[in-house]
Amino acid sequence: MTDEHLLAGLEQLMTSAGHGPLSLTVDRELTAGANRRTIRLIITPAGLDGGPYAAIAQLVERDDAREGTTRSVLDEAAVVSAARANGVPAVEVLAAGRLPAATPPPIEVLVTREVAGETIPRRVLRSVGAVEDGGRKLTRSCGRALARLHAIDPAAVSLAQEPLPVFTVARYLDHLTERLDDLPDPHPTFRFAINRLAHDLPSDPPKRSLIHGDFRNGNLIVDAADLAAALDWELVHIGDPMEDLAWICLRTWRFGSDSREVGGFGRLDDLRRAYADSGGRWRQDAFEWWTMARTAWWGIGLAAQAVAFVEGRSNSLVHAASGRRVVELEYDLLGLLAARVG
Amino acid sequence: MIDRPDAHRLLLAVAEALTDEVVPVLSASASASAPVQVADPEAAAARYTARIAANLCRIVAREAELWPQAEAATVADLRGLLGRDGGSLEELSRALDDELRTGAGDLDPGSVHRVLSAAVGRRLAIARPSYGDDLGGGHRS
Repeated sequence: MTDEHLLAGLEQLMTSAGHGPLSLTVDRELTAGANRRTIRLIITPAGLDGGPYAAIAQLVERDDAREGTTRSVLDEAAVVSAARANGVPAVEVLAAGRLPAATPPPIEVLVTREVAGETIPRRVLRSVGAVEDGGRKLTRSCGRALARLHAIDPAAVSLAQEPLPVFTVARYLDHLTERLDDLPDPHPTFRFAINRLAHDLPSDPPKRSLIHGDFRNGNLIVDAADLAAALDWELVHIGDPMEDLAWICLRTWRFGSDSREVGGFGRLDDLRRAYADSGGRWRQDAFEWWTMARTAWWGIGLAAQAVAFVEGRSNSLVHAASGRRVVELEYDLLGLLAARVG
Repeated sequence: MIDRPDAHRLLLAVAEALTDEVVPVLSASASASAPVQVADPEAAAARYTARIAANLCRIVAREAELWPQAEAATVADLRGLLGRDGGSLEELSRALDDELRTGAGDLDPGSVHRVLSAAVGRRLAIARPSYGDDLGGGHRS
């Protein structure tokens, strides 16, 4: 698709979402993946409707033949808007839809207002460490944001394309086993962990909630040492709230700042208290179970990245290095399991 | 004997050159203009790659030094756990994985945990020696 087509399509989309008349220009490309691009736009409203503002457009090639492998951005927009309406700091969706005059494959676009702040994990850690309050404010905001997200009734979110996947404990164990069985080399630590997790199931959640699925340092926009917005909602699903709380506390996402359990910036106690104060119900047994399950999942994921490199499906040095990071997750997992084996 | 410097020394020299000479130059251009938003993203990406490359060189250097003994120790542990007289590390790992998957061997979880933890400790000494210390050493059983 040429840039003129792209701009015309985006302008039409923004106008039908009620933001027109306007003119827009591409400022620069932020990321370019196999079937996903992110670009920064400058939008100038016509007339006297305020000055120009920046927006982020995510463009996703939607291969209808592989329906279900990529979530529709329309559904992502619906979830983000529902979260925002319930007080979760999330980006403001300006427009979402298919580009009108696109030639195949169809391209879906999600346009959001740019939010100022830092997302790169180590810079986030530096920026919150610099102020007197450290990471406490950010930690409490994360607890509050997750409590508000988990309070949303998933049935009240109307989705255009397909229902959200439901993760139960049993289904998650099957998912882990399938991912492990797909790896060509044996990984007995992960097999052992799956056995122990199946042996030691957590309590049921009081109700099924909307789960962000990737709420962690790196996917949070942090401004003035506080949470400005949660990003990357493409893994959203329905499940146990403790999954989200466990994920943000995984050692992997502390980026070397290991003594601060919450994303490397905060204390677990502050997160727990903020979550409970905002109406969330903290279940320690499920928190521990999901911490182990998600550690295993990420370890298996790193091993899968290395397989992609070894088999020539990726030539990324990061993926090559992932193969030698698997052992870190195994170490964490065995540490977590230590108390549960006689 | 191969000409000196040997593989171990060469890898460490490459790692040092990347860390001390390449990364600082890329860091300078990545943050040349003060606001983060307008920094040179290509320089930042290249700096990231150089850091990973240096780290991988150090891993391979440690592997050359430590792996023969580590592998032998893990093979001995696994033979003991599974009650076998022979088998390579790969064969034994696959056998352990199979027994855990099917539940056939009726292995004691505490013994499995001990053998896996020792094996992980040896691999971690190669991949990231500081990782076990970072939590104050009280993490492993």
